[in-house]
Amino acid sequence: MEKKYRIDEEVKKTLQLLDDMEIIEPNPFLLTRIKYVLDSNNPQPKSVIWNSLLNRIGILIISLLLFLNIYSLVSYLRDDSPYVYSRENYIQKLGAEYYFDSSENISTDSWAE
Amino acid sequence: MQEIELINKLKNKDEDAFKIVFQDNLKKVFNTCYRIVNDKQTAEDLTQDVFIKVFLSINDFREESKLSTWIYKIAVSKSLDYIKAQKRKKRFAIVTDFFSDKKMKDDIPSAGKDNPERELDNKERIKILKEALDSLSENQRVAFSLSKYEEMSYNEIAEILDTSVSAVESLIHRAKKNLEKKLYNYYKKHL
Repeated sequence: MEKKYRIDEEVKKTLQLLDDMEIIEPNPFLLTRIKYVLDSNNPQPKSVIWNSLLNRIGILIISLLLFLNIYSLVSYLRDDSPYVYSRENYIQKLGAEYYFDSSENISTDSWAE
Repeated sequence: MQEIELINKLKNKDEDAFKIVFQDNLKKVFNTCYRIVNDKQTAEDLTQDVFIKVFLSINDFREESKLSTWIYKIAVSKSLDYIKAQKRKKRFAIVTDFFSDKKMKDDIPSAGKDNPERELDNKERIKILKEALDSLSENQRVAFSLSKYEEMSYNEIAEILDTSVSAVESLIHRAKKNLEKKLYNYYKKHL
């Protein structure tokens, strides 16, 4: 009888402690931790990646064109090759090749008639 | 800030909105996880997972319930998944322990085992109470904790657990009865 009373008392006392169960405070740096995880794992939206890629390709193409232009200009200016023909040189060369008199004045006006 | 505005900002990945949602719900989410898993570090990890999911999956939120209810639903679901995974691990550990001839450690204080007349102090009683709470079924424990510690209404608990209000009432009633019964049996054995 005494044991039953003691058990009942203990159960009662223990159940009363339900209200005294500790409230635990979370880590104050949890938000920083979450932000770090989000920043390191969050993939950028496709449009951002695409825009960045397009920008890079654009810059690359412009740089390439600029380089080719500068290269052509420099090559042209530095070119002292003997194979630079004027119009007359070409006509003479063609005349020699096809056996006609290149000193004649060739007119293309009659072709239209 | 109104909830709809907050949700829209959150959908636009607004960091300030996320901060508000985090600060408003942190304690409840953390304590909900803690009451289920009973370990501070794990509860923190789960809380972190919950808020990351909230941030990344906010577009899946259909606004049929309050934002906080949706967040607690994620918290409960993640905590229960963790418990299930732990149980699987434990089952595997029992098998491996059986083959490696290890005995399971018993942490429960033996009330008055050495001296039956000795009065138990509250620390011991709380430990016994925690063990008794842990031995309740998952749904009973979750429903009881949400009602007792997070002071949620039966309606909210029903939404979180995807069940009816009457089922929640029944779960909480049975949780109380089972808790009493488990404590009674424990003291009967150990006093």
